[in-house]
Amino acid sequence: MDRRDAVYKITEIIFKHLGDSANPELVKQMVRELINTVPLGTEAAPIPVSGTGTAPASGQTAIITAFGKSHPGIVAGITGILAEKNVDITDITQTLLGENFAMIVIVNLAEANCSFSELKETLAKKGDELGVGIFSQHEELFQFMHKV
Amino acid sequence: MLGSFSTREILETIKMIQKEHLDIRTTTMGISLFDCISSSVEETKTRIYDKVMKYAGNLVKVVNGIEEEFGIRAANKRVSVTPISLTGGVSIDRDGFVEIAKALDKACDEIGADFLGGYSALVQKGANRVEEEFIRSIPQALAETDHICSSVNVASTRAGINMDAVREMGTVIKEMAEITKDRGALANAKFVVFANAVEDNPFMAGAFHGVSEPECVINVGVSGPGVVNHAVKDAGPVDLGTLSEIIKKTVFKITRAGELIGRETARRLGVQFGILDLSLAPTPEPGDSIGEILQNMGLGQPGAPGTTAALSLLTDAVKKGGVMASSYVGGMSGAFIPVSEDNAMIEAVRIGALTLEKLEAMTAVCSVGLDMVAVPGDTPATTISGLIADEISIGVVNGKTTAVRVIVPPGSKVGDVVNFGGLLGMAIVQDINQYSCDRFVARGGRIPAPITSMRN
Repeated sequence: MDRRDAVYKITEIIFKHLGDSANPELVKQMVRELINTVPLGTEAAPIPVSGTGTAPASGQTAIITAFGKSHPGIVAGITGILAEKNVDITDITQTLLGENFAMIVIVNLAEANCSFSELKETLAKKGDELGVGIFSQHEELFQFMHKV
Repeated sequence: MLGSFSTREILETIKMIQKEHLDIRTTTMGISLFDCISSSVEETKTRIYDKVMKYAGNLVKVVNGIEEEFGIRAANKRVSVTPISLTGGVSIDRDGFVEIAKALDKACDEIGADFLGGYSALVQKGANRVEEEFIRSIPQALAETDHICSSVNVASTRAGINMDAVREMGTVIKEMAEITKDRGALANAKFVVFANAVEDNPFMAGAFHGVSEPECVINVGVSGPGVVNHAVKDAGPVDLGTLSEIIKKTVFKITRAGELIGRETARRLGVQFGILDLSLAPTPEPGDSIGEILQNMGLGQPGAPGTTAALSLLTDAVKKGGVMASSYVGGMSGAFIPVSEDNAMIEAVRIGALTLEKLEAMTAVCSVGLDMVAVPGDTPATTISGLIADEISIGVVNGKTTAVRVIVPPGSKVGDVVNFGGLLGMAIVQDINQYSCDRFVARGGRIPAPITSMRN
């Protein structure tokens, strides 16, 4: 994480914890104190000319959707993998439209023991076994498209 | 509700991506090459190659990573550069320019991008000696490279129309068709003639990194004709005001997806986010078609009376829906009508519903121009120039971008099919008016800027 990202992250966390009592001056003062006491890398680190792109998306929430013909074992198959990867389910819904099964799971990846792409791939493979399509996406896309 | 979303919202997004071809059509990195100018071709070539590699080396990897995380396809990764006619230096000749094109092609190939645009010249008011030399190098440069796209801006609302350049374009287009005739005149598909070319267009073949652009930017073109098509179809027989409202809402969501991907790409690459281009760009995929949207709006075929009105409603709604969804809207931002890349348009041409003249009228209200149209191989260069002059005039007088990307496959006759495959699709050779414009084109000179240019 470069310095700029770190400052951004710290500010975000402070705002989150202060809640309604947050005001710009207070936050600014807290950020300044923090970055003066904790080293955050080189002071004038230049912005990389062309990044490596390894920095992950800032959010830890992902949305997993599964569609296909209903049969026993789909929910177990998916949630089993999530448990194995230490991915926390924060919300879940499942509906049947005739024979068609649709499930949406909202998960928190903060404590996951694998990368998002590994999780995504494992779930997609499980989907092939179960005969359902499983799609995993970071939440930001939905935030951007549906929330103003 | 699931988290902060409703089930409907989640399913709508999944449906757009999985079934309706919503994708990020192009993520284009613009790179300034001004600091690569040197006194020798060899040195300039090396500097240009190194700079493209340095900035865009990670472009494909980063965009693929974002695609993976956000679960939305980022179809094309591209690069645009400063117009090459401006980077040649003083002593360069046409062979030197071709050498630079090859160096750019090599860089594009190595970074894994599909096209690199900017083999371009801006000669709306006149060309200097180097630019004249550059323009003559275009056919060979396109014939000897795989990824390079080229454009020439021959007119602007402020400058008028450089008819000497327009005349030259007819010859250049015929020449590049001839030397790539074994590939269906493929070079024609990578060459655009513009009026009012925009400096931050992320779409090919017309992308270049304008002279007033910063060192490096990410410009994004988001595309969702399939999504709009489904929305229009699902709307049923509502009145046109309601239909406009539905398109606006749909485009807002599509644009937000593009805004997110653009910003995230720029952030990860450590470069500036430039603009988001709202253009609806079709693909040969079934359903991903502007022609089908027009049909679902109520036209029997694209080209039927009412087509221009329907297209104007569509373009306007796209702009209105998109403009609030992004902080920086730019590029073309309307609806593209590249005939060969749109199945419903190809069919309309095949059955005679869509003529060249009707297409020209449609370009007055869409975002670009006569795009990917094929005309017979024996069409004289002057007729091509006449076609360009007409299209360019529409742009100049209306203060908008217009362009011509015309394919003239040598030996082809009306009704012949030219199949490029992939994104470029399939063109059917169309009839073009046989009466001569030789003497008009031969006059040359500059058509003065229209009265509408005086806005101060």
